Amino acid sequence: MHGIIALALKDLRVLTREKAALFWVIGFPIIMAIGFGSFYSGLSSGSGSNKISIAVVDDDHTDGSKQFIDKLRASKSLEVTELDREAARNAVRTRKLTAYLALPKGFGDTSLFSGTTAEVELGIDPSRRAEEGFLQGILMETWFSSMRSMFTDKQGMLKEVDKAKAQIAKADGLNGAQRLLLVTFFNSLEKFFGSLDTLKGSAGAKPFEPVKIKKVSVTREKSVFQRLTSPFEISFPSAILWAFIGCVTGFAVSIVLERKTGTMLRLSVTPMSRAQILAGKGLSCFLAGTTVATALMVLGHFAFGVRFGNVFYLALAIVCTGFCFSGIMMFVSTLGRTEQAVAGASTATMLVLAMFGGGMIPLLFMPGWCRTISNFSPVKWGIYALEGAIWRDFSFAEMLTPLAILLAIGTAGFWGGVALMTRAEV
Amino acid sequence: MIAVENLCKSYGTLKAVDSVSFTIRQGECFGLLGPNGAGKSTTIGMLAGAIRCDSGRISIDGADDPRKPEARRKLGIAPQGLAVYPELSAVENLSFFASLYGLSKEVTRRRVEWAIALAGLEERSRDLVKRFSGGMKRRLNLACALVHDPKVVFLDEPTAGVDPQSRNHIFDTIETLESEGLTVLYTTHYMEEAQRLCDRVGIMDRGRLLAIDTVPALVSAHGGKTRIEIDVEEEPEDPSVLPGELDGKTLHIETDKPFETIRSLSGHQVDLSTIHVRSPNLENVFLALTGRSLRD
Repeated sequence: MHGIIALALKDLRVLTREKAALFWVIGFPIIMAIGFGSFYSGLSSGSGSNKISIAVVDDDHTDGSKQFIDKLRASKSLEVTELDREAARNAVRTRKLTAYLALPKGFGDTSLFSGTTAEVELGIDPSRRAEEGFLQGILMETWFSSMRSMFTDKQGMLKEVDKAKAQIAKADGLNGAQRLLLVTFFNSLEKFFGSLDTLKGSAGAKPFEPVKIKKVSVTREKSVFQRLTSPFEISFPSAILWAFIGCVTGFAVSIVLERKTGTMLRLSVTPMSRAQILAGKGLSCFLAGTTVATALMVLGHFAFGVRFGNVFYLALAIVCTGFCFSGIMMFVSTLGRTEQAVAGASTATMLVLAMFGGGMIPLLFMPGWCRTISNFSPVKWGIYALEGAIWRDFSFAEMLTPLAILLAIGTAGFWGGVALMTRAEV
Repeated sequence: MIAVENLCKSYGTLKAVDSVSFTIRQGECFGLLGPNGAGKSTTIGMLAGAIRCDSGRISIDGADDPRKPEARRKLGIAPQGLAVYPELSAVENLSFFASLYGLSKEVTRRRVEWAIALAGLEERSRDLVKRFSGGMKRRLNLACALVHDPKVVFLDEPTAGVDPQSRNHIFDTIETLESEGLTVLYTTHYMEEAQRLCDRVGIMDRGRLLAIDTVPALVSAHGGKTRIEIDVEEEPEDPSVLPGELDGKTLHIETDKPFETIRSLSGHQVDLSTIHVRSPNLENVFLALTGRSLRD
C-alpha cells in the first residue's frame, strides 16, 4: 500500500507541474461549467422562453373581445401581442411566434342564449402540434373563465335575458304557444337573477365551478428549471464529469509514457506487482478527479449558487464517480503500447461516452433514443448521481442504482486493466 | 550470486535470446558486449523479471524467481533510456524510487543524500531534472538504481550519449561500488568500457552468447596476433629476410611477440621512420567470432 500511495503522490506532483495537463483537468471543466451554466441561465430566465408566444388579431374591437384578450394576457402560459392579421401571419410563418388567434367581427356580441357560436381562427405552424394542443386547452380555459364570470355577474345575466326576450319578440318562426313558453321561461329567469341578492347570504357568494381542482405542490414533479435554484446546477455536474474525463485522458497516457522513458522498467523491478502499479495510477487519477470535483462544487456553491444538496450523497456520488472513471482509466491505459494509441483510444472512448451520457448536451434536451443509449454511458450515471444529490432530492434507495452501476464499471475497468497489464511486457 | 541457464526468448520468429547461460560471482563486474540488437537488454529484462522468458532458469542470490518481491529488493536497474521523471527534482526522483522499497524515512533520507553525492549533483539536487544536461541525467539514472542499496545492479549501456567527463564519473562510481562488493551486470557495445570495467565479459550477438572469459583470455583465445606496421626509409635489397610483407615502403607484420620482432629488425639493416603497433582487443575478438565489426 505504501508503494501505491507513493506512486499516486508522485503522479499528482508531476500533474501539478504540467500546465497543459492541468488545464484539461481543472481549467476546461470550469470553462464548461460557467459556459453551459450561462447558456442554461438564458434558457430558464429568458423572456417568454417557457411561455407560448402568440399574436391576437382583434377584428371585433368590442368590450367582449377586449375582455377576452385581457384574460389571455393574464394567463401565465401565454405571451400575447396584438397585431394585424398580416403581421401575425408573417410572425408565425417566420417562427417568431408560435401561433396567432383572430377574433372575428361579432365575437363580443355573441349572446349566451342565441344558440350561435363565436368562431375564432387559430393560425399555427403545422410542425408545432404539441403547442397547438396546449394552446387549444388554454383558449378553452379562457373561454370558460369568461362564461363563469358572466354567470356570476347579475347585471350581465339580466342584460343577456333582455337580449333574448327582444330576439323572441322579433322572431317570425314562433307560434303562439312557443312564444308564450319562452317568454314565461325568461321572465322566470329574470325573476331568479333579480332575487340573487337575497340568495347570496344563504347560498354563499362563490362562483360556479364545474370541477374544483385542488392544487398540490409536488416538488419532485416540478419541471427541471423550477427545481433548480441556479441553472449552474445543471452545468456543474456535467463539468465535474469533464474533470473526470480530463483525468482519464491525462492519466491513461502516463503508463505509456512510463514505458517510453524506461521508468516502467524501473517500476516493474521494484517489489510492487503490476496490479499495484496500476492501482497507484488509478489512485492518482481518483485523487485528482475527486479533488477537482470537490473544488468545482465549492466554486459552484460560493460563486454560482449551486446547492450542495445532500452533502453525504454528494460525497458518495463524487467518490463513486471517481472510482468508476479511475477504473476506466486503468483499462484504457493498457489498450495500447504507444502514446498515440492510448491517447486516441481514451479520447475517442471518452468523447462517445460523454456525447451519449449527457456530458455535452444535458439528457433532458436529448431525444428518447439517445436517452436509451445513455444507459450504457457511465457519464450519464455520474451526472445522475450528482444531480440526485444536488437537486433531484433522491432517496438513498434511488441513489443506490447509479452508485452501484458506477462502482461496477470501475471494478470491471480495474480488473480488465490488471489482466491486460499482467499479460503485457514492459 | 547470479546463475542463468539456457535462457530463451523469442518475439515471433525472431530469437532475441537463444540458450544463454552464464554465472556471475558476488562482487564481480560482468559485461555483456555486443552490438545493438544482440539481445543484451532483453537478457537484463528477463533477469530483472520485467520480461518473461520462454524457457530457462534464473537464480539471483538464491531466489529462483526474480519477480518475487524478496528477489527484487536485492536488484537495482539503470535502464538504457533515461528512466527518471523530468518534472521532478533529483531529490524527488531518488526519494520516490527509494520509497517503493519500503525504506524508513530516516534511511531514505540518508540513502538519498548518499546517492546525490554519488551522482555529483549536490548543487543541483533541488532542480528539476528537465533542466539537467544529458550527463547529469545519466548520473542520476545510475543513482536511482542504487538508492535502495541493492546487492546486484544491472546497468544497461549506462554511458550512452554522455560527455567524457560524466563517462569517467560513471566509471569511477562503478569501480568504487565493485570494490565495495556490489555485483554488477554491465551491457555495452563499447569494447573500451568492457575492457576497463569488467572482470569477465560475455560476447553476445544475435541472441547468442558466443564466448565468456576475462578480457585477456578472450583476446588471447580469439583476438589473433599483434599487428605492426612499419614505414621504412628505403626498401631493403632482399625483402624476403624481413619478418613480414612489404607493401611499397610499409612493412606489415603479425606476431605474438611484438617487441622481440621490432628488436630483430635492427639485424636486417632497415631504417625505420614510423612504427604502429596494434595489440588485439575485444573488437578483434568480436570480429573473429562473428565475422562482423561491433559497429556494424
